[in-house]
Amino acid sequence: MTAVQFAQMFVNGTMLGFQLSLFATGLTLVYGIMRIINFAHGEFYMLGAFGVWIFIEVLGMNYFLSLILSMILVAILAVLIERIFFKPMRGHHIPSFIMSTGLIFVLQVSIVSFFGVKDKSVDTAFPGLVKLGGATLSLERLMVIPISLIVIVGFYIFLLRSRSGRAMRAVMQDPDAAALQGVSIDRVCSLAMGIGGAMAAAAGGLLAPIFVVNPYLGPPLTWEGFIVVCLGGRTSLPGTLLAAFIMGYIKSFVSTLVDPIVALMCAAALLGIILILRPQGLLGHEA
Amino acid sequence: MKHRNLWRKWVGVLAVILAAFLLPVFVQSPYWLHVFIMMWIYIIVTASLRFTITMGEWSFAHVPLMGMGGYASALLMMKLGLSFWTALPVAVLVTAVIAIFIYWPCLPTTGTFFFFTSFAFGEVMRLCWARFKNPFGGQGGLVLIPAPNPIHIAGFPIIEFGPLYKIPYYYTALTLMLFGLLILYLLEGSRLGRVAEAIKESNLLSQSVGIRVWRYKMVILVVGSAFAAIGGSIYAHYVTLLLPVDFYWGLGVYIIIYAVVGGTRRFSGPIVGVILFVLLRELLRPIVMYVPLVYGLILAATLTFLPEGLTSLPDRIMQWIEKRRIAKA
Repeated sequence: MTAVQFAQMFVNGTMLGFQLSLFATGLTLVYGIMRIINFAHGEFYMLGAFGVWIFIEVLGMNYFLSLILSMILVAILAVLIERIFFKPMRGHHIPSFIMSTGLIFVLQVSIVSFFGVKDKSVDTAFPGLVKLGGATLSLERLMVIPISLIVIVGFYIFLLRSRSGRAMRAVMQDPDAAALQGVSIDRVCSLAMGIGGAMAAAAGGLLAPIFVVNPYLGPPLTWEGFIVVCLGGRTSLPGTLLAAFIMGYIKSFVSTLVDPIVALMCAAALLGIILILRPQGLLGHEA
Repeated sequence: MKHRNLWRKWVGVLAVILAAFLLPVFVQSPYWLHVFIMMWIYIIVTASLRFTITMGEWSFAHVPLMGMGGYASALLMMKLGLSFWTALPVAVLVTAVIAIFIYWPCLPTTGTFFFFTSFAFGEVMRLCWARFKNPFGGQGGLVLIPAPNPIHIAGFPIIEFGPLYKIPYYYTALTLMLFGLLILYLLEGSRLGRVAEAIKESNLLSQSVGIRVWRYKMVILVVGSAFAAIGGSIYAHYVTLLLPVDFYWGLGVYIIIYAVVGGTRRFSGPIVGVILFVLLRELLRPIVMYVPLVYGLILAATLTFLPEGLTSLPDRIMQWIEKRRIAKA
């Protein structure tokens, strides 16, 4: 393995890590606040990617504008889904999981019926290559890193500084105590689902020009997202970030050096082992 | 009163079984025979999943273990040259042993953890089939799986299996399915079923009255996987192609949906669920693209309005009538 190869794998892994952190933060938020397992989270990613594709390729809009628009639209959809389907499921793990698989079907079929099953590609907003110490890296892959960093830092500022963010953290710690202090649980749940949906859509929109866009993007990513969430400790947001990068580097390095199936195998084995040896995850508190 | 009801129930069950046996007399189209063969396979897999659910844990390794049954009997026939009728029981045993290894590390966990751990180890096994080309055929799958050996019974014509002879498959699948359901039904009425109920109610409490929870859980899971392996083995020799992708969690989710919509509290639940969904799929064949949408909506409606599944509907209606009567009086 040369240094050039290493640099490329490292950049790839970092990119995948950011994708997974954007994606899995929403999952952790929704699990932490509502105690539901939302397997339809990957569909928000897929819808985000489709949104960007529609706004750029069909309507001819600017990349950043279409990213923000698709984030907003997916957030609205996520809030609606939370209100209609997940409200009675709060706190029930398995029923919410089954309900969310039903939602996967519904959302996938709606997209297929409008846009077909063919792969779609989005033109990159950042063409060109960058040379860094001998390694050639494409600018579009590098640009994922600062943009997702902005979204994640923005989310953390919101979570740590704003009133609603404090309410969210309170509900994550103890819903009953938070309700006693006058926090509206319904509002916090909707907010969590909306923010989670928007972040998944951001990940989808960012990665849309790099990978292809098709209606079946969601489920494989959801599976990885759940590995990340369980690995990080299901209600710990910093743990999710740490686990997302571990997962991203495993995916990048093992896929390149061994083969992609072994990378998936490592991830699955990691999930099983962590749940048995340390059920609270890397940075989680509760068992 | 109770006895008459019981008697009626058994007459109904026998009538349904008789109808299933006579079906090929009326339905000759190979397409419909295929639909019913797949239906029997799904019923045995779903009913065995429900059997493991009776002790309160949801296993997501069930469908990979079904695939293991298929891979085991196909490989036993292809590599060791066994006849199908010996390969089937050996494959069931092999799957039961593998199930012990898969569930061994999962068992200390409960609830959602169990769900995810079994998911993880089932997935590792499934990825092994995709990774190792030598026995398992890799991602392209195991192809050219031989059909079951013909049956010779003195005095009867030879019964041959093949893509053009679907009726033997129909009866093999139906017989094995009924055999499996009978055993599962008897097990549920036995001590094992009552222990499962106790474990579901409370792990700790059953431990404190002297039930060896770990051992019983393992027995229930292994028995469930063994019956899933029967389904997988018939599937393998019927379809003659095994792809690792077929046993990805998509199928697992479908099986769980069948069981949940039918109702997991009652033995008839998964059977009703499978029959309903399979026939619904055929009914919606002109708009096959929207089938998952319809499935999803039915699932959401069932979970919201009838959380115990469709088989709880008669009881619900009776309760409602009773309530009305009391309210009037």
